Amino acid sequence: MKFKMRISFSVIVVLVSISVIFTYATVEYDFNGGYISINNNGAAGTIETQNPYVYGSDSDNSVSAWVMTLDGSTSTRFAQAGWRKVSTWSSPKYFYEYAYWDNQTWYTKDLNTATTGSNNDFKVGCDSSTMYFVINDTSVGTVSLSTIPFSRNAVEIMGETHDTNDQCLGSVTNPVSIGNAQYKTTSNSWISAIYNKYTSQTLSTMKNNISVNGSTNWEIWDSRY
Amino acid sequence: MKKLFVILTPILLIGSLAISVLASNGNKIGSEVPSKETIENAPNTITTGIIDSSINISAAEDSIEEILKNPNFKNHGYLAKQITQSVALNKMDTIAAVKNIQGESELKFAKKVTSVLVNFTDTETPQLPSEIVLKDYPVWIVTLHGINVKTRFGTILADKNVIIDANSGEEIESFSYPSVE
Repeated sequence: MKFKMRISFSVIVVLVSISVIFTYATVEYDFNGGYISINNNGAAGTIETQNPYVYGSDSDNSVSAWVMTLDGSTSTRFAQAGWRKVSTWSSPKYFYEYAYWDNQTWYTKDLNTATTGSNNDFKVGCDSSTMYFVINDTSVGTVSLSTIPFSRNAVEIMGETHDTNDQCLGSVTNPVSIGNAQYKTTSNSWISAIYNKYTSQTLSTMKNNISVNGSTNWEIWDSRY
Repeated sequence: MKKLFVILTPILLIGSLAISVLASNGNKIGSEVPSKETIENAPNTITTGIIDSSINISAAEDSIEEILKNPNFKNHGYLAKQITQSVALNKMDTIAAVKNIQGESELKFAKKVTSVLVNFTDTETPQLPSEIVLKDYPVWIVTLHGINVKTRFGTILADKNVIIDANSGEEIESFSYPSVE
């Protein structure tokens, strides 16, 4: 009798544990790509557009790939440009976004459809007064640095997902290509740069081939696809 | 004792799974949407054959002032003028187009949906890659007020403006900023 009781309780504990793990594993932000911790005036790179699977039917979920300059000490101060796909969209679109949440500044803009399979140049960079958002050498937006006065101490070029079920971003046979990685120095020169490898600590299906010494060109993919 | 266990075990199992499902929804980023009750009790909600009745669309024609209530519209260099020419799309066709483009859930979760027919100028991105020049261009601005948007730093309450070509029904662009209501 006591043995059966223990078995029953064990089964309950295991089931509860599994369901709790499932609960907390489904929703999370994950990133896959390269970064450099350095004072800068911008980031740039060429990113292939693909049309990944985005989990869910709510339009608040999305998958994206972008270049970004940021204050690496917080997630609330950044400027980025790239492409993204919201779960309710049939195909991805170009976008740019910036935030300085210290003063409640957050803004995002989606432009026209980004053609799947195309390679596009994305750039976020500033001069002494203005941050520019540039897609394929066309400035699509600007913001005054006084609106986003953060310390630009890191650059990143990454894929981003918000749910463990999202595809980030390519597949084993057709990974998303990222190349021509650059950053803008504080003396305002764009230079080719070696980005360091970053992969999700929690989602092992996110893969990239940035070497241990860093890379200027690389691929990212989702090993489930 | 054994009978008690036979009864309690399935109850505990179902209960724990139910709790985890509820926790999952509660934990989901972006789940802080207005309740269905809030949406259904909102004023001016109308029903059409195309649009779900739970979408809170104002029945009256919306004025330009509706989008200017959020100072971010002007602050980002957008201009809207009273339209003078006739256009192909009416209000409900436009809402239906936005529903197809953005997804019904976003419209449903909006605290309010307004649509204004204007000549639109985007001083920030006047020349789109699609070669449309956004200077006094006839559009419907459909604003989804008070939607939840996932950002890198969590979910925020935002107003999303979807710019629809008033003649072709194509989406031209969309932009979002924090809600002020």
